[in-house]
Amino acid sequence: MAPILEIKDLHATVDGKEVLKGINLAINPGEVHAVMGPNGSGKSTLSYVLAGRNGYEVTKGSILYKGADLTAMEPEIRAREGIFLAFQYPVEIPGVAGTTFLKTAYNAVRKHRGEKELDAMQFLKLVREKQAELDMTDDMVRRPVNVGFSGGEKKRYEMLQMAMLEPALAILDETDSGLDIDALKTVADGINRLRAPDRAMLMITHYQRLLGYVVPDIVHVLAGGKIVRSGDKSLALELEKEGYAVLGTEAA
Amino acid sequence: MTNRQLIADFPFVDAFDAVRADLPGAPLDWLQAARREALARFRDQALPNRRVEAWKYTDLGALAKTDFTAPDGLLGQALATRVAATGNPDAIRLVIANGRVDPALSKTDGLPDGATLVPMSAALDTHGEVLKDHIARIAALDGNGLLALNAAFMMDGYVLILDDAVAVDATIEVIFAGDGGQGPVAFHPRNVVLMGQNSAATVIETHLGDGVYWTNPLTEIVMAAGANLRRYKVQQDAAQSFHLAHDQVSLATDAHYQGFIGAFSAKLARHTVTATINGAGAVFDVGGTYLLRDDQHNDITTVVDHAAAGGTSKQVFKGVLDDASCGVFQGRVNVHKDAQKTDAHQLNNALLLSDKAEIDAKPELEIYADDVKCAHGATAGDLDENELFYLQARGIDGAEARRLLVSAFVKAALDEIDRETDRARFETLVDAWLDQADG
Repeated sequence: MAPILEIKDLHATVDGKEVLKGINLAINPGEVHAVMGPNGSGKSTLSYVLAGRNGYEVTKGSILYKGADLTAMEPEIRAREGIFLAFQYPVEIPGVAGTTFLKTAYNAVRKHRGEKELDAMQFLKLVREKQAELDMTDDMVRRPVNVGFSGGEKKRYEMLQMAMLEPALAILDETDSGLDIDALKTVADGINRLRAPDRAMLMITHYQRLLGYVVPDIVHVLAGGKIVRSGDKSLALELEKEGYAVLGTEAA
Repeated sequence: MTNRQLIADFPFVDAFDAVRADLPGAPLDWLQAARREALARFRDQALPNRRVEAWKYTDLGALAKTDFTAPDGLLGQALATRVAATGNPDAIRLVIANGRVDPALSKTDGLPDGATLVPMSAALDTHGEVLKDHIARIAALDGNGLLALNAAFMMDGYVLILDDAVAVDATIEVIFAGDGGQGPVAFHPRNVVLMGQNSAATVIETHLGDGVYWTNPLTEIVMAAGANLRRYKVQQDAAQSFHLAHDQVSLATDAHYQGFIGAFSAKLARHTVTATINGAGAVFDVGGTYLLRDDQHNDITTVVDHAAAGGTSKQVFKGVLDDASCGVFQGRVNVHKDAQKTDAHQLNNALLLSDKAEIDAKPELEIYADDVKCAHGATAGDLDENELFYLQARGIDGAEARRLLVSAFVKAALDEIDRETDRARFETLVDAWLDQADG
């Protein structure tokens, strides 16, 4: 089976400073990987590099997504090809109605995949179905993007977008941060619903908390811009108990 | 001559004696005298140049070099068709073509009793005595050469007179069309709005045209206690035209003015809005948006005088500047000594979409009262990178993402327009402007 994502010796800089220093990672369809690590280890940088954010420059190595060179693609093309980044800090966009945003995104992705765009009625029906699963109201979906949302609502809205766009590779950047236990369960349920044999997930997290609800197949530890250990889900528990200090790396 | 003058030798000025018999109110001696005095003042004042503080950022050099003649009043067929299709065709409407009313394109019946809407040329016959004081006062305004030119060459505009307690619910359309198809023409519309106590009306002014022309409209609005006016301006002039407008609004106790300026097109436009709050509870609210591209220049200059206690003024402007365009916002608020409990708010946000675009913003507060609430702010910047990336990360392409964000930015200004139908008109115009950017 060919991996969905294959990262080899990836080096990347942010504002000219090298943050990723030789990452190797392969994720197969159906797998859920967790990347854990202390603050400053390069976790968020990895997610932005994969999503194609401006200013995050790949200086060495390669990223293959479904066998194609990802680094050459614009961020919107990556999204249409099936990469979804759930933001650690979802952006508030005053003045852009949530429904307009979601419909524009949804139809852009559909069109790219050669599927028919949905009309307003069909679209609304689909959104209603997905929003109910995430305990979201019409008002939350209609209001300007992320404006007036609590931290938990923002994360649920990310999950709604993910459910709508049906990505092949979901990158969840600190999706558990700022959530109370109820919101955490709702969001975890949203993630678990999307687990599928043809879909891969990369969960980036500082704590083990979320991994109790979304159980990963493989856990990687990122420190100092490199993956220093990989293992099964027990590695996450070990880290929870011992802390990152046991890794003996410079970034504790 | 002083070093603050820009000398212009306009053919229409030299032709004053030839055209004055055709100007509105020719039989009125007092008006003829006022016109002659104003002409003499223009010859003395000329146009302001950039050494004049209020004109530091707006250069009338290109205007001064153009050989403007007096228009013949007729519109080309294509333009006449466009005018007929402008706005709501069923609305009460007055069309001013090259400074003269076009009765064939106008429709002024359907107004309630106590409401009068007529072109200036007719109003001078029917309401000469009422208008005399206003016209004399405007004629005596010692502002700059532009006001003097309007006083000398005053042409048709709209005169709206409402008796006490008369409310006109339907939106009144006034369309100003300029046709410079046969060579550059200049015209000087004069509008007068006199509102009785507790009267109410909504006016949408649309400015459009073809070719090189210069419109120099002067509007005086006098609002009695409790009067309510919504006045919206669609400034969509021809790409090579000049638009230099001057408004003068006075508000009595509890009067409410809600103005909106949508500046969409012209080579050079300046909107000077002056208001005096003369009574407690009066609200002067003026906002707008200017959308500029190529080498367009737009200037919003406001002067709000709080001359009485307990008044409110609010100004919210949003500008979008692309290519090598230039925007100017000069907002001045004067709070006089006795104007306690004044609430004055002013905001100008400019979005610069190109490195060559320029915005000059100059907010000025002058406060002589000690118990007031005054705030002003001016910002200039590019689109937010975080917002752009968030949209792109959802599959929305760069151009579409930009469009969504610019549209959201501009439409925040439209929220000031309280009626849905009026707001929708501007939303459509904003969308059309954005579509041109895509093309």
